[in-house]
Amino acid sequence: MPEFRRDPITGAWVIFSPERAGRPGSFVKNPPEQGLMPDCPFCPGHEKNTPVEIMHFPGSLEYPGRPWALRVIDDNQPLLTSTHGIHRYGEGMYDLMSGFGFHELVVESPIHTDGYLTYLESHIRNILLAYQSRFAELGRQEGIQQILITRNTGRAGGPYHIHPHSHIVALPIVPKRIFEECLGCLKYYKFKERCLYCDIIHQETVDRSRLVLENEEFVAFCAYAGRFPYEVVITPKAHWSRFEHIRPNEIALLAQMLKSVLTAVKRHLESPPLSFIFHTAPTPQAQQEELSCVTKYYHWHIEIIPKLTRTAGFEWGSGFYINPVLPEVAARALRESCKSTAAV
Amino acid sequence: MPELRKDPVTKRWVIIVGDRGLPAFAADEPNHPQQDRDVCPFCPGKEPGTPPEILAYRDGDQWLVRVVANKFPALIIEGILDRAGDGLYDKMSGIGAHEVIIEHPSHSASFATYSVREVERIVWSYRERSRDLRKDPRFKYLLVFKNSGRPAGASLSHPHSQLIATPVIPKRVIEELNGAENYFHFRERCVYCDMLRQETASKRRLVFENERFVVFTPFASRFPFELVILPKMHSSDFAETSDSDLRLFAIALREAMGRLIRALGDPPYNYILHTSPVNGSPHEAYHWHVEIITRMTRVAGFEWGSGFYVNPVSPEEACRRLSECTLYEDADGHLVERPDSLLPAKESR
Repeated sequence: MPEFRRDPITGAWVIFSPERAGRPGSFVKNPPEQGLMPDCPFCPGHEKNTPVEIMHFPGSLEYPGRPWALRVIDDNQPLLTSTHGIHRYGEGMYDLMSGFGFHELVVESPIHTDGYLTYLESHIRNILLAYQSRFAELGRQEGIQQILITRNTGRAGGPYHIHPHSHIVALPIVPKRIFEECLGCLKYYKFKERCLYCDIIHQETVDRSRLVLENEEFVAFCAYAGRFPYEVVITPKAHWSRFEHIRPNEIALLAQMLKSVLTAVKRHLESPPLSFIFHTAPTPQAQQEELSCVTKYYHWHIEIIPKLTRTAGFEWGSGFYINPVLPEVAARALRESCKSTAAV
Repeated sequence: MPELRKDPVTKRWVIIVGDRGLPAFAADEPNHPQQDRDVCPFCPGKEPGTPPEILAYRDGDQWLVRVVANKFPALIIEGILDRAGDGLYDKMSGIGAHEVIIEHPSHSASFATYSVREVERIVWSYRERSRDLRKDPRFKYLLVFKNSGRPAGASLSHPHSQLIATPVIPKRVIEELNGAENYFHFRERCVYCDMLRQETASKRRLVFENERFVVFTPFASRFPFELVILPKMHSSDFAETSDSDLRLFAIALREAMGRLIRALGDPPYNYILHTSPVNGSPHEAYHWHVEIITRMTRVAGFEWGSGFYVNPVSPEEACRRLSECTLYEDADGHLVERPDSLLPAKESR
C-alpha cells in the first residue's frame, strides 16, 4: 500500500509506491520496449484487460468505425488508492499520511500511433471536455485538495505505454510546487492588489519578445525565467483560477492553441520528449489559511516542458536551474515554427 | 554574458547562459560514454589543454588531485554584481566561480576503487577551495557537487567533482535554512540533530556510523537509495571541519558510495554538499550534510510540475540492501570486487 511522507526540512511530501518498482521501464537501466500493438492494453479489442472504465466518448465523428474515441479508466498501477481513507500519523519526529487519492488514465485515442500532431482540433476538444468532467467529479470527493493532469510523450518524459494517454491524479494534499506558486501569487496580490499572472500576461503581450502565440482567449509565451529550454506557458487572458470553469467557446480556442504550440515545439525541436501539466487552483477543500481566497490571486495555466537537458547535481542540490537557451530566442524560433506550420 | 533571472512566482533564480548551444536530449545511453582516452581532457599529459590550474596536490611530479576552472562555466568570475528590473521581472549579472576538481589521475578510478587516503585528498580539496572562495565578498553560497554517469548529467567520465560559487543563496538551501530555523523556534533543538538521534536509536535506516559521522537513508527520500551523511556534532559549516574529522568524513563518504556502487552496480548518481551560506549572518540552526541521490528513475512530468516525487523503493528496504553489502580492500587499501576465493556458487550482479 502506498504512503505519503513529509520531509521535515522542506515540508515536501513524497509518495512511496513500492508496487511500481517492478514496472517495466521504471528504471533507466531497463529501457521500455516499444509497445507492440498486439500487446497494447489500450488498443481497441483489449478493453477487458484494462481496469474499470469510468467513461468513454463514442467513436462516431473523429474516429468513424471505431468503438470509442476516448476512454477514461482507473490506472492499473495507481500511485494512490481511495480504498483506505485518509489517515495521518507520526513516527517519532516524522509525519506520515496514508496513500489516499485517485489515479485515472485518459486513453486519448483508439489509434496506437496517434498524437497531438495528428489529432483533429475537435478531438482535442473532446480530451479537454473529458478532463473537465473528471475534475468536477473528483473535486467533489471527500478530502481531495488538488487535481493534476499530466501528459508525457517520448521516453525522457517518462511514459511507459506508448499508446497516447494522459494521467489525472487527485491528491489529499496541495503539492509543494503548486503551493509555492499560490504563496508567490498571494504575496504579490497583497502588495499590488492585482493578480501576478494577469500582470505577466499584460507585460508579455505588450513586450512580445517572449510571446509564442495568442488568440482571443489564450496566450502562449516562454517564461521569463523558465527552468528548461523551450519551456512554454499557455494561460487564459482573462482571470480564471480554475481550469474546470472553462466555457465551451474557450475549450475550442484552447484546443486550437494546444495543437499549434505542441506542433510548433515538435517541428522545431524534432519531436523531443516532452511533458505538459495543468496548474490549477487547489480545490475548496484545501485547508491552508493562505489558500482561503485563492480564486482571487491564482491564475490557471499549462506548463509545457521539452526534456532537452539533463538535470545534474547542481540543479537538484540548489533548486537553481541552468538553462542554456534564452526565452527570447526560444520564443522567436517557436513563433516562426507556428507561422510555417500554419502555412502548410 | 550569462544572466541570473528570478521567477516572479516561485522566487527561484535561474541562470540563463544563452550561448552554449543545445545539448542533445537524453535517449537511452550508456552510463559512461565510450570516450576515447586520447580525447579525455583530464588525463595526465593533457594539462596544457585545461584552463589554468587553481590547486593541485602532488607526489613528486605526478598530481594526485587537480582543481581547474571549468572550460564551460555556468557563471563567470570577472565583473561586478549588477541587479536590474525589466518591468515586473528581476535580473542580475551572472557572476560566480565554476571550478572542476579532477579527483584522480587515473581515468578509470572511481568510488568503486578509491582508498580512504584518496577520498581524503578529494574532500581536503573541497575544504581548501571553500576556504579560499569565501574570501570573495560577492559570493553568498559555495556548492560542491559530483555528477557521475550520463543520466546524472556528467558529460565526461574521468572522475571529477565541481564547485560553483553563486552571488545568491539557492532556493533549496533557503528552504532548508528556513525549515531548520522554524524547527529550532518550535522546539529549540536542531532538526538534523533530532533526526540523528532518531536514526541512530531506531537503526531502521542507518547504513553506517563512525565516531563522527552517520550515513542513513532519509525518511522521505525522493529517489531510490537516497543517502545522507551527517556529522554527529552540530556544525553549520563544512569548511570548519577539522583535519581529523575530515578523515572520518572521507571514511563515511567512501563507505556510502562503495556500498551504493556494490549494491546497484555503478548507478548514475549525484552527491551534493549542503553547508551554510557564506558572507552573511550566521545560520546557527543549520547542520551541514551530504545528500547522495541515484538517478535510476526517470523524473516524469508529474514530479516536475508538482514538486512532488514518486519513489519506488522504501528507505528501509534500501537501507537493508545497503547494509548487506560487504566492502573488500586490497593490500593498498583500494576497494576491490569480492576476492575470488570468497565467490559464492551463484553470483548475482
